[in-house]
Amino acid sequence: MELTWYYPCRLEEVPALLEKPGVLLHGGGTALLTRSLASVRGLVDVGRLPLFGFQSRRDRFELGSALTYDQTVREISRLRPDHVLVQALSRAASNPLRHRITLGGSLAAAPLWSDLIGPLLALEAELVLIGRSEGVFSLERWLEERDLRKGSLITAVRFDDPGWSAGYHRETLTTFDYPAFTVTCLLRLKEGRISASRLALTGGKARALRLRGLENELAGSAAADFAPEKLRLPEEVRFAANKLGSPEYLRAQAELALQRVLARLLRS
Amino acid sequence: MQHINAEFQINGKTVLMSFPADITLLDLLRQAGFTEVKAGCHTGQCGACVVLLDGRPVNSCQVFAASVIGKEITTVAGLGSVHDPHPIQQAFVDAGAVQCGFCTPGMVLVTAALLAENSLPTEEEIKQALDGNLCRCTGYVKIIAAVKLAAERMADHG
Repeated sequence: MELTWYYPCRLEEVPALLEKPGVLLHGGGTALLTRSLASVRGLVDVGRLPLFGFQSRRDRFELGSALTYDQTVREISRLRPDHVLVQALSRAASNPLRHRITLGGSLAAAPLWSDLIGPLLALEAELVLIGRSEGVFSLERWLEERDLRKGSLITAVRFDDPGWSAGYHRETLTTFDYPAFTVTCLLRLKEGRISASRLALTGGKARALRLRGLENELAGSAAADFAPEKLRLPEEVRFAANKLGSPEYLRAQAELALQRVLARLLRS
Repeated sequence: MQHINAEFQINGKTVLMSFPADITLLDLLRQAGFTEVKAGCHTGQCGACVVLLDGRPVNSCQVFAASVIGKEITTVAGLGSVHDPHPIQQAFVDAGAVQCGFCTPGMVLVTAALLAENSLPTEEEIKQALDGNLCRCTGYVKIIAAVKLAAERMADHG
């Protein structure tokens, strides 16, 4: 089948291109190269579009969707070296791949092993879309409604970050492995108590989960008295067996990882 | 299949190439004679095919050639040669960091990108930079020593 590349320079050109049959978006290309291109008739390269911006005003961040993981880490770490996205994306995949994987491509593919989804879920990120679904949508809605992805281009990722204390864990056998699961914890303390928290877990059967029940349990707890080892994952968190172990083992590991990340955050 | 005619800047020279729309940068470079770019896993895991794209390391097996038209590409041959080796290449030889040599082009290029930004990296920073380069001979201790040696020599000579 004929494969044609398109190189739009203006965002207005994109919606019409995405309506062509068999046309896909190309960010860094790493997800596309893992699939067959037999049914793909066209690729829209986003490299010439104005999607590389980075803005930070007060606590509001806006990231262009064509930023690579490496560019994202560089931009955010200048302002917040311990930011959760810095922790997550600086260890994701590998150095050469971090220079190719884009935020938009990663969100569009949303693989189970993504190091991006958990942190963005905890940050309650919003995605700016153009095309068939135009507007601003929550990441949670993007993950739930697959129709949003058809014929649409993510132009930016937005979130507020008032200065969360952040912890991130990716469960792997070796550094390079895709994570079996990831745990993201964001905490705010006020007068020695946990005033707010956001917890996210990816890699389970539900793919990406906000642990809101646990967040409610944490609210108001005195940091000094809090015992993370008593924290239990809710029943809804379930895993499928994979090369790291059985569903029961992975669940136990995820619970332990959550306890450890929280303990580390509270100690610091 | 659409055929594309386009220019690339490879090792400082403008190169005009004609290629199919779905070819990877790795295959295009090797077909054009840049066989110093090694074909390893083809899945972006081993780092043997690393080239510098506008100064940044990428797995050329994970890059469509059509997506990097006009970009500056550096292979290990663009750094130095047998007769005029780059200090990083010489450090790899002097530190005994070359065994079978298959991973060496990727290791050297990632080191070049690292030292261009961070002239005296810590061991942890070296390991993080090399986290996408596998050595089948498992000679990592000498490779890390070679990166440190190259950093010291390049810092000494400005």
